[in-house]
Amino acid sequence: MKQICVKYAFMMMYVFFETFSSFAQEIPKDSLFEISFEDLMNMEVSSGTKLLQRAQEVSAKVTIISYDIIQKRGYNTIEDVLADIPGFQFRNIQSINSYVFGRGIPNQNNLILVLIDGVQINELNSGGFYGGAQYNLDNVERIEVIYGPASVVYGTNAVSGIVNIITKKPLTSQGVDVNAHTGSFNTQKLQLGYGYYNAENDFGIRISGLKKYSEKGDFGGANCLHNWSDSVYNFENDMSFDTKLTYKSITIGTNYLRKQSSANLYYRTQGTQYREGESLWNIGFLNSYVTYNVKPSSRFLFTHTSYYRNSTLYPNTIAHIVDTSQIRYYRPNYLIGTELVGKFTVNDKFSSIGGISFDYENLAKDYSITWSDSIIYMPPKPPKPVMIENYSTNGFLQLTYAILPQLEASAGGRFDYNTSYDFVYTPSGSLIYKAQMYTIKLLYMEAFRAPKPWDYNWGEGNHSLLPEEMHSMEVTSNFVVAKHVMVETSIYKNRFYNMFVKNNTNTAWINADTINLIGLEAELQYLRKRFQSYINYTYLHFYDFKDNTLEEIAPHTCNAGITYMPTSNITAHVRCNYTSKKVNANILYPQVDDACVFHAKLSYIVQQSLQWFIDVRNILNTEYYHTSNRNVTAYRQPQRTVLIGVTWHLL
Amino acid sequence: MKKSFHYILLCVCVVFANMQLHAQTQEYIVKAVFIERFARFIEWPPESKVHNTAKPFVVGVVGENPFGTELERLYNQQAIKNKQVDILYISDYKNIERCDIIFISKSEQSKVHLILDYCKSKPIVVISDIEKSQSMGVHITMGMQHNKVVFAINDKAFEKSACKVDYRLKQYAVQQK
Repeated sequence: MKQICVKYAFMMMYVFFETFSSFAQEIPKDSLFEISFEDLMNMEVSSGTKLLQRAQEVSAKVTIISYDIIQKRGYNTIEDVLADIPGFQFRNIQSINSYVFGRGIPNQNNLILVLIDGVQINELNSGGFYGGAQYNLDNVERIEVIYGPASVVYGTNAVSGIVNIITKKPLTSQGVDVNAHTGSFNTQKLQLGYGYYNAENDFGIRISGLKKYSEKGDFGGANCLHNWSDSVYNFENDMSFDTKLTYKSITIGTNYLRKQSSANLYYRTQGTQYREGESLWNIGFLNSYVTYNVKPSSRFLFTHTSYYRNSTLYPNTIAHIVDTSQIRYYRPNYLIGTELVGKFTVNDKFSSIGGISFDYENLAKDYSITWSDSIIYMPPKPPKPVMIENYSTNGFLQLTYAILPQLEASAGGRFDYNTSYDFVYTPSGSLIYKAQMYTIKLLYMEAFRAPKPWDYNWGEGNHSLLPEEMHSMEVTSNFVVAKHVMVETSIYKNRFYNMFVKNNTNTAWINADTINLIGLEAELQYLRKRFQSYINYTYLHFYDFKDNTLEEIAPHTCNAGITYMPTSNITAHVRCNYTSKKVNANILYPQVDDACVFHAKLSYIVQQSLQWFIDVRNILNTEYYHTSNRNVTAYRQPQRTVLIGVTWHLL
Repeated sequence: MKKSFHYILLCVCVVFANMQLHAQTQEYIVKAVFIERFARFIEWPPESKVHNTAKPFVVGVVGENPFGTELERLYNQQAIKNKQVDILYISDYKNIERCDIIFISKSEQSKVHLILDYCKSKPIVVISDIEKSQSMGVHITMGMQHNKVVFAINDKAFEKSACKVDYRLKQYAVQQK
């Protein structure tokens, strides 16, 4: 392994030198100001200078949430963002994790691919993404949510959709910025950021750090109806650090996320033998990447990215404590990979995008566990677990042809080989009609989710698991129906094969029967300068061969919000998230009631660079729950939380 | 498998690294230069801060930035209306009023009407390369024809605006269908 790393490093250095030396050939752009108007108009140009972004090449419904929207609406976590757009539901375990169900498929958080600056941040051992407050939304330029299967371009895990978090660039976020808030349940946040850009050398750097702490709610005693006493404690302690260095077309970045939380609420619901204090779930994610793009001719554009990913459950994790013992976990994982993506434009009508990638992953076979026989003393540090090495080779190609100026057809396929799950082939196809005021897309997409060590080895283990597969047909449209009114609709039919479920004895994952899903999403936006509003609705209908309703998923969800700016200094925002009744997988609590939860934010700009705000979450203190396969009351959702804060930006 | 993986990786990187880059003029470099050219032929009203020599000339990019770093590099030394140029990347539309010219990028296609609301009755010239954005009320629309940058002028939008366009610029403009 060491030998591979050394050779790999040499190769990267060589590639950099080649790239750097080529920049010397650029023409002096300042002289463009000296030429005549006629010459400027007659200058032949090549199109597209921006970095090739694969997410934008996926033929699918895309929703973009800009930093401006995040600020105006007071989104604090990635769940806040997703809860307000169509198609997402949650099972929020208040302590360890939050499960996100995209387009109605219950799962272990591993059907949605989360990317930061184009590099996956999903946990390596399970393929799942960790919800929570550890994402630094103050350092986000925008979040792109791509709906539906996208494995042709992204491979495993891109089943329900992709959440692509794009962090701020040095060029567009210069100066110092500070974001802080404090409020109920001992909630505190501090974010510091700094951006510098030198136009002469085309060099920039952006650094941002975040620290957050919250006890999130009062879950003790009478506030909840389960096993918790008044002394139960619950916290989430998050840290995040982003760096981005740009030099010409090279970007070097690092994103580090760390989430520490108590595991009390989770284990205590399973029995009163679990103690209520001192547990710690401590997980960290580190992504480092180097990416650069080259345009060897006017028709070719290439982006090459090399990345290192690490997701480790740190060895000071204390999962749970009982009267006679404690249990300590350790699970390290890392991955090194490189990918080359290229776009070739043959002519005005025909273009193609393709790529190849190679990954080496080193994953823990299972948790390494140590025990102590005391409630007081921590167990010794767990040894390094048995590690599994996997290699994967992937390639994809997507061809696009403009049949008419407004009508585009595209077809693609992807081939994946992995030493763990072998070969997978994924096809896709689409027809897109683009007019001035509307776009209609007809999509056929497939996707897969490959089993990971966590799936193969959980409980008694099952090494014959097949990849989960999704086949999806969708019609999505976007209309500007009037000057300020936009309507977006999607109707889709999904067929989900080989879904992972636990066996009858709850001792291993097995592949289940096919599930069918019909979904409808509709959104209406009314956007004026001082008044902006939106309402969206999602309907989901499941049927299997017995026409059973799927547990955990509400058939109806609806979100609505209004942002009003009475003066240029004041912004007021109110929104509401509605979830209808849903079936729960527990005999004692067979149903979870519907709920309508209101949130609001009021901001006041003192000076151009200084803003105060008050953010009230769950204004009416609505008591609501999410589903679980245990008692419903184990999943009480956040109570009324009042935050006051400040945003300051100094150029 | 380990060895073959390694060799494939090596080959891809070496082949890729040896691709020769060559100089060329990119679409958005020319579009960035056009912004200065347009300003030469536009007259801002007397009350506009364009006439305040103490303040920089502000070009705003609304939405996803298609210029990369080119605007900064080009206008680092180059003046517009004999004034230093500040580039403002706008995600909060309230900042539009700080600009003298704004460029609406393609990412904001569905929000052009909203952005124009922010410019109403203000001495701001609106440029975009969104197809047919002229019919939505944008002052100048840039486009591509046979690998060359062309532009169309929206007379009606200028009539409603406090900014006036010189007839000489119209001579170079194409008529948009």
